Parts: sequence; C-alpha cells; structure tokens
Amino acid sequence: MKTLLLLLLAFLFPKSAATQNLDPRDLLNPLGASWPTYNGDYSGRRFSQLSQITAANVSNLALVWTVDLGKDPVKGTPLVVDGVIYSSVPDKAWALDARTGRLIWHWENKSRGGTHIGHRGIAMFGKWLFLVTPDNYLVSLDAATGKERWRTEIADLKLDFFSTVAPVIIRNHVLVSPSIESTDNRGYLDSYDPETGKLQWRWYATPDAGSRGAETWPNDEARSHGGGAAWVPGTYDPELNLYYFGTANPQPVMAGQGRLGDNLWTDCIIALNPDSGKMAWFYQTTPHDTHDWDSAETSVLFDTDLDGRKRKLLAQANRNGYFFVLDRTTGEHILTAPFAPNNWAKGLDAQGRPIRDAKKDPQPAGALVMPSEEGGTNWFPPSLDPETGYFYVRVTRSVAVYYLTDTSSKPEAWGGIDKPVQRGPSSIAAIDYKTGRVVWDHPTGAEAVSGLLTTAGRLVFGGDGSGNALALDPLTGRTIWHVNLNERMFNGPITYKLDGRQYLLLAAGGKLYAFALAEH
Amino acid sequence: MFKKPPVHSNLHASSAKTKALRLTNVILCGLLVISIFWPTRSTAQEKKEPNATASEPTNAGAIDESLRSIYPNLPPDQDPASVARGKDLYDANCAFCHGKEATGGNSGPDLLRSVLVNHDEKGELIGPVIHQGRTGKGMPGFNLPDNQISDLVAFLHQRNRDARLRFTYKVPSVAVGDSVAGKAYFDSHCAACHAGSPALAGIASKYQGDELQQRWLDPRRPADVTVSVSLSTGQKYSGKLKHLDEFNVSLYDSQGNYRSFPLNSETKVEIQDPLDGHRKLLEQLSDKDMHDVTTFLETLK
Repeated sequence: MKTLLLLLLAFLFPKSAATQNLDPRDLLNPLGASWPTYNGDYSGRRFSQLSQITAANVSNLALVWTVDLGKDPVKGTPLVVDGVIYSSVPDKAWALDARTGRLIWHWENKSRGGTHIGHRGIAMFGKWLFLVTPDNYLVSLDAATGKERWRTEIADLKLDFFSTVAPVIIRNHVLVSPSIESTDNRGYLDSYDPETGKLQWRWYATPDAGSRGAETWPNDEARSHGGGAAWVPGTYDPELNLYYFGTANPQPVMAGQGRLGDNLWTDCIIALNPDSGKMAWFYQTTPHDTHDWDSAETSVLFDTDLDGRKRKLLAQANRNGYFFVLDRTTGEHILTAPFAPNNWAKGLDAQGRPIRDAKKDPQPAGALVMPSEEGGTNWFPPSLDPETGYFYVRVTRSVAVYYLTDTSSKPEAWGGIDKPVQRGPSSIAAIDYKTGRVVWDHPTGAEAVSGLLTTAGRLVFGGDGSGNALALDPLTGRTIWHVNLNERMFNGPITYKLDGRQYLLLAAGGKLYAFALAEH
Repeated sequence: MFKKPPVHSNLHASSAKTKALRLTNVILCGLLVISIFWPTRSTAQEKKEPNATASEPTNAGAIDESLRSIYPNLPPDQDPASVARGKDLYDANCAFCHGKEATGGNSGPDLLRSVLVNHDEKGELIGPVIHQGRTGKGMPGFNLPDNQISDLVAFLHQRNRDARLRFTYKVPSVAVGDSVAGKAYFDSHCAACHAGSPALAGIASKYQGDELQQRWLDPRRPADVTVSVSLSTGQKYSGKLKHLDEFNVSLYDSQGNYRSFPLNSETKVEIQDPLDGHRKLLEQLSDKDMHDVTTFLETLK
C-alpha cells in the first residue's frame, strides 16, 4: 500500500532538484535531516533519527548562531528544508539561512485584528509555503522570495474567530481550522487546494441537524453554535489514509445549562479521511466540558505489540489531566490513566472516558477544580520515543475556582470565569504507553511552557520555567546538559542536519538559538 | 563525586547525577515559590488574563491595557446614557421576540450571535432591518427616529461586548455557606497561624465577594519566602529568596546583600514559605468548606 502510494506520488509530483522545494513524498519519511512539517513527520512523535549528538557528547554542544526576531515569543515550530529555516509569529514569517541564522526574506501581514496569542507554524508544499494570520487568512507564499501568491479568508473575523494553527498538508490538501474566541460559533476543519486556495471541503465539529450525534444537543440553536475548533495541527497515517486531530471545547464555554448532553463532537479525538473530509471514527475525552479544556492536543501515532498482536495505536495526553491510548484503525479504547492532579471526575466509564462530577461544574459561588483552564497539559508538543516506549509530556499543574456568572437558561459566550489560585509546579513527565503509568516526573518550576523533542542520540530536549534549556536522559529524566537562555522556551525544540553536522534549534522569547557539537 | 562547578556557569555541561534526586523534594516545594517572582500567564487555548494583582475593573469598560496587544480589536465601549435609553427601547419593542437578554425569544433569533449585528459598526446594517423588518420571517418594521435607532444599536453592541469580554464578568454572591461552620473550620485549620492575627481583622472591609475568596485561597502577596543554603564547605547563608531553579539559588541576606550559589549534590537548600499552609489546604479543601470559610470571613468587617 505504501509502495503504491509512493509510486503514485512519484508520478504526480516528479522530484525536483531545486532548493526551497519540498517534495511531498519527503513527508512520508521518518524524521531525519530536515524538519518539513509542524511535527517533523506525520506521526507526531517528534522523535528524530539523528544521533550525532548523544548523551555522551551533549556537554560539548556549542552555540553556533543566534538571531533576534523581535519581541513576540516564538511559539511555533520552525520548518527546516534544504538549508532554510522558516519561522513565524502572529502576522510575521522569516526565511533564515540554517547555517548562520541570517535573514533571507521577511514577510508581514497587515492585520485587521484578531487574537494575537500565538502562531504554531508554517507548512510547505513544493516551492510554496502556507500559513494563517490572526485575522483569519490562509496565505500562500513563494518559499524562495516570501512573496504572496494568494490569500483566502477561512473564517469571519467579526464573529470573533482568529487563526493560529500550522497547516498540515496531505497530498494536495492544505488542512486548517480557525480558533473560536468568545462568540458562540460552530467549529470546523477546512481543506484547501494548494495551487488555487479554493476550498475543497469543510468538516463541521458538530453534527448536522437530524443526523447521528445531533441528539447530544438539546436543540438546533445550541448544536449550530456549539464550538469545537481544531486549533492544533493533527497527525496522519498514510497506510490507513486517516488524519487524526482533536476538537476544542463546546460553546458557551463555562455555562452548560443551555447545552445539556455530551455535545458531540467537541472535546473529541477525530479520525477523518483527508480526501473526502468524512469522519471515520471519534472518541470523546471530556463529554459536556464546562472547564475550557479540549481534545486538541497532539494525537501521537505509534505501532507496538499488544497482547501478541501488532497494533496501530494513538496516544494523547489531554488537557483534562488524563492520558488516552486508542487503536487508531477503529478508535477502540485501550487505556486511560491520569497524569496530572485532577479532582473533577468520579472515575472512568465503560469506554474509558472520565465521568464528570457535576458538582465540579462552574458554580455561582465557585467550585475549586484542578486543573484550571490551563489543563494538565496544553498545545505544547509532546514526544514519543519508540525505543524507550515512553510518551513525554509537558505537565502543568493548576487549581482554579470556577464561577458560573450566567445562570440564565440560555447563556452566551463564556457564561463563567475561572480564577486561578495556584499555578505550578510544572514538569516534564515520561508515561509508559503500555500501562499509562508515569515513570518519571522532572520538575521544571512554576510555569514551563516548552514542547519536547526526543532523538536517537538518547536524549529528551525541553525547557524549564526559568529560561533553562535542558537535555534529559529518556529513561530516568536525569539532567545531562543545560544552558540558561534567560527566557522561557515557548515552542517545540527541533533538530536538523546540514553539512554533516546535527543542529539543535531552540526558541526562547523571540530569539532562535542553534547549537551543534563544537567544530574547532 | 562531582567537583564543585564554577560559581558563574557558562555554556558548559552541568553534571547532576544525584543532585536532581536529592533536591527533588526541595525543588518541588521551592519552585512553587517561583510563581511569586515570575509574571503569571494563562496559557489555556491560550487565554491571557489581566495582571493578577490588578484590582477588579470598576466598570465594564476598564480592560487591562496589557490585553490590547493580544486582543487588538476589542469592541469599543458605548456611551452609557445611550445604552440605558437603548435598553428601555429594546425592552419595549424587541424583547418579546428576541428575548430579554437579546439571546433569542419566542420567534426572534439570538442577536448576539447574529452575523449582521456582529458586522454592524454604527447602525448602518441594523438600522435598515429595524425600519423595514423582515417580512418573510415575521418581523415587522419599526418607525423609530434615528436617535432611537442609535440608542438601540448602542445597547446591542454593548450587550455583545459585555457577553464576549469574560474579564468583565461579575461574580454573584459567594457568601452562600455557613459562617458558624466556617469559623469552626478556621479555628481548626487556620488559627495556628492566624489566631488573633491583627492582619485578618477587618479583612472583609478590604476585600469583598469573590476577591475575598480568591485572596484567602491564594494570598498572592509577595510573601517573605526565606531560604537557608548550606554549602559543602560548611558555610551557611540565609535570607529572603530571590530565585530558585534546578541549577542556582539566589537570596538577599540580612544586610541586603545579593548572594547567588550553584546547586550541586552537596548543597542543601531549605525553603520556609509562610504560604505553605494555604497551598496544602488546596489539596484537601471541599467546596462546602470553601464557601463556609468565605462566609465566615465576610463577617470580619
């Protein structure tokens, strides 16, 4: 099947020797010398095959170059293709020489507004780049020059949509979803043609009227304004031809009395065919969410032996504090285990879903809940090392008082507010995906926000809350190397190879840092 | 064993074979302290919150300026007098169909979710609909003068703004518990540190409502966290904690001198955080206890 696919792609997209060019077939390879898509490859594991930097020599890492991109913290994962780095913050993108950090070109969007909270990154297809803007444009740039080819509006700015997601490209489908700020909108995932920017299909995060799943909403008004944005990039299995992504919380966010029911397909892991836009299966991680959590975190794909059989699995460390493992072919539930402190569920149901304690829904005089809306984790990219069998996750601990401020029968927008009473400590945790057990938990201070990277050099890279970048032993969590960058690492660290040399690329604040083993 | 690393670290490796294990417990307690010294940020979806120490906005329009860089097109505040007139006009003419809160009623749709209302700037879209109605959908036209249209538009936009800006939401009464039970809980869980403490007298005159509740759950003041550092040489230093992470600790000693130390397997660090009791409470506090204690504290005027 995979061979057929590669042959088909070879026919459709003949390989070009030009630079600033990504052959879509490269996206099918395991993560190696380049970093051609948000998670490096389609699996979401962020496990690099590069092993020049090892636990034995990581203390010889030297700073090769650094570049200051400005005051906005880089939260997105840069791409590295053919010796060029493509990095972004809201409204801005840069192409940099991966050897020196020097600027090749800079692009900027003239913004009409929209929430400027972050930007997850850029996607590449052939010689074209694709990125979204906070004011809801999907823009395509020429990778060599940074000039705009086309832009198309993917959501209505006036309805309080905004966009941050890094597009994921599967063959000729550019997949993006706008985020929902406050106004009660129906969330969706779109597929666009990379050549023309034309919409190919739209998948709505709530069912159509009268169709399966609509019964989880009390009426059409609630269902058609029910939320469920897919604001974190997904993962893809080319053999099953399924795109895996998560949906966000339902609307109104914290007042659920006007939307009694499980509220499908909000807070769900979704498997979807990228050619047709049709859903294959779903699994809901927080039915009737009232805490502004979601299921948008990365669904990491891995294969393993389970009970003597080879299984295709999917793992997600969820905002709600629980770790889920599913069979990614069928959506069958494998296991659920808590990885962060939480007090909102009364156990697990027969499908492994946490059973919500209604007393911990937002209350007029306040309900003390852990985690807060920050969640047990958030969008920060996790990593999975197939050699250790551990799923590595950025854990954030928090406690908040959730207040229900709108007690009417038809609340709007948020309908409530959560006020944090404790933030931290955060940590990097290793979860054994076979059992869900947290094997080690490395404290990282009050509020670390970095993503994670694992490599065949036997290292886990991430940041702490004090501006240190860390390399940890993947089996024990012991710190092997660190450097103090004095600003928190806010994105997912990546690695690439150029001129026979492996680079580690970190962002701290608005600055990029490239490390490699000392040459001189 | 490990050589003591240089005091001023550079980009070299930091070995930490046993350090991480030995310091784990200390750091777990101590790093909670970091939240005092670092600006706190909400990262949910992500959402940014107003500065935690800013006082509650006294009117619906006051938004922390730090939010504007993240939300550059907050809908503007409307003139309060126009909004008040508009509300009366709305109640008289529109509420029957569109609901008292403009969220939909007997036969009229939710106006806050309306594409047209959200696209309208100064009544250029809403005005014609009010005048002409929507005959196909059962809405009559209303022959209202322009100034009344303006007031209705102001009311709708303000209502929309207030619904969307959760940082301005008002929390209703939190004193729903039993103040006698709250006092009993206070006596058994809090009096050890707070009995007869003059600081709590009149606390309810200083803070009210949910702010009082937040403040006893999370006192949030820059507490005097103290730290003692014992080096392998036998020297001891103590003072007010400035920073602690996996690799370094810094403090101000009793003379106000700034001191900084690298952490290794032989360094012992002890934190004394007066807010420890509050943090431990959060692990075991039930909602009933929380409401009872808040209700009791509200009597301390």
